[in-house]
Amino acid sequence: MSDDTTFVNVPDLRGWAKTWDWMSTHLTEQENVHNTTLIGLDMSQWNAAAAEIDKAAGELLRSGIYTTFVANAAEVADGGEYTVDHIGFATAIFGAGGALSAADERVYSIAINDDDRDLTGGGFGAPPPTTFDAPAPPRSVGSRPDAPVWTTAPAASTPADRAFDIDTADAVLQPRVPFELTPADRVFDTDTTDAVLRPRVPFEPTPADRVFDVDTTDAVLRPSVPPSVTSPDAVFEARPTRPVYVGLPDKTPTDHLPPVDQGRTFDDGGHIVGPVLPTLERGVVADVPAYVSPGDLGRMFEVDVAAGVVKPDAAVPADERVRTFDDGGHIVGPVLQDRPVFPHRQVDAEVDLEAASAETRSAATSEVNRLS
Amino acid sequence: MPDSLAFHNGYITLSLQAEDYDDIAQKLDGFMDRALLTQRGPFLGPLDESQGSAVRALRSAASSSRRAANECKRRGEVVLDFRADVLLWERTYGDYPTSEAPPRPTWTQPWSNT
Repeated sequence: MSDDTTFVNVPDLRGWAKTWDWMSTHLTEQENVHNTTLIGLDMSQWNAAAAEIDKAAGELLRSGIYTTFVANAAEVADGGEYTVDHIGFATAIFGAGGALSAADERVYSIAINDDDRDLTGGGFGAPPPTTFDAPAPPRSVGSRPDAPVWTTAPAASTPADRAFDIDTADAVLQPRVPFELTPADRVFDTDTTDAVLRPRVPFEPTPADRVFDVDTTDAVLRPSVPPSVTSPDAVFEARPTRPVYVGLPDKTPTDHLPPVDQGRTFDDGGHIVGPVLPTLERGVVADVPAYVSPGDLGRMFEVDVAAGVVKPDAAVPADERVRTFDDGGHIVGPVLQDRPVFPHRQVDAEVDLEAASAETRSAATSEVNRLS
Repeated sequence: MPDSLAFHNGYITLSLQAEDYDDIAQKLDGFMDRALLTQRGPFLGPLDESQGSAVRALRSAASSSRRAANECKRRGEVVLDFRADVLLWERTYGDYPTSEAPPRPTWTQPWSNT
């Protein structure tokens, strides 16, 4: 017996022993996956890692056995300072350097995980084995009971900093932490083309079209819009809008025309003459977009004056929903003349031509022909 | 015959395993640091030796797994290129008399593709 004094934390040692035993089992399983993978690819000669995995698995089990011996001895000594026959343990477990048989592994694994252990007889209920120098038979899979996971559960986090595990095999993201007030098994579709994630189940109380940014570097998703902003369109909804009718004066339905637009003038091409309008003295029309093409005739728009953004009504095709105007009232961006013009718009333009002056008729006719 | 997809899957599996081994090795380092801080006694020596051996084995296993994974990736690309060459040849010269067509692409790797 050695007279070395040893201080140990028994719960720590037992916890570590269980963890290492679990790791050992896990590595044994991974060794089999490794071998199976290589066999399936006709690459068995590339299995150099298998021996190292097996060595690590065996060594981890030995560590667990050893610390369990120490912990058992400490409990037998009834706490406080005590002596441990560490040399005897080390010789028995580490001295020979051989692998444990599957049967030995089973015995020791059960002992490591046995909370109702019998401490008589030197720790495991029996003297340390003496068969460590025997040839190592193949390690058995699943011969040991499941051990508890070695990591503690993460604390609940807020949605903004919530992290996700990415399963690249089937491109499914699952939150590491269950959502509060939402299902814990929520999954996301991954669009790898434009790296946008959309929840399959609508967020409550946020809209279903909420978009997340994907940080592929550290696999963290963060909502691109703060939770308080519930819609990508909020930028428009939060600003004042007012209806503006754009159309030909002689075809304008006056019952729908706002007072500020009464009497506005148009040129032969159907363009509002502006931005200076005869009704300027009435106030607010000067900042209204003044240039429209024939394709926009007869359409009702909502104008966000502050932002210089025009949002047509819902009947307008999606790609024309938002149009931006410059300071001079001209449309910036896609030009309507470059797009297909609906028949009724062409009719409006032709009617306008009937009343147009001879000087501008030729140019307007050319425009209509081009649109046709 | 393993196709390029099978090799790709093998590459992913082995790469993830390598990361797993490194992760476990890192955890073992943490365990031993903790043990040296909270425990005292000669019994720590054999334990440190055992843990160190396990860490070294895991690092080595991770390295070997990565080499195997990279080989999977390389073979997958080789198989894909070869099949593309064969397909292109068949579409281009499939209807040609043998005497007028260039030689069909042949497998030149030392490992089998069948």
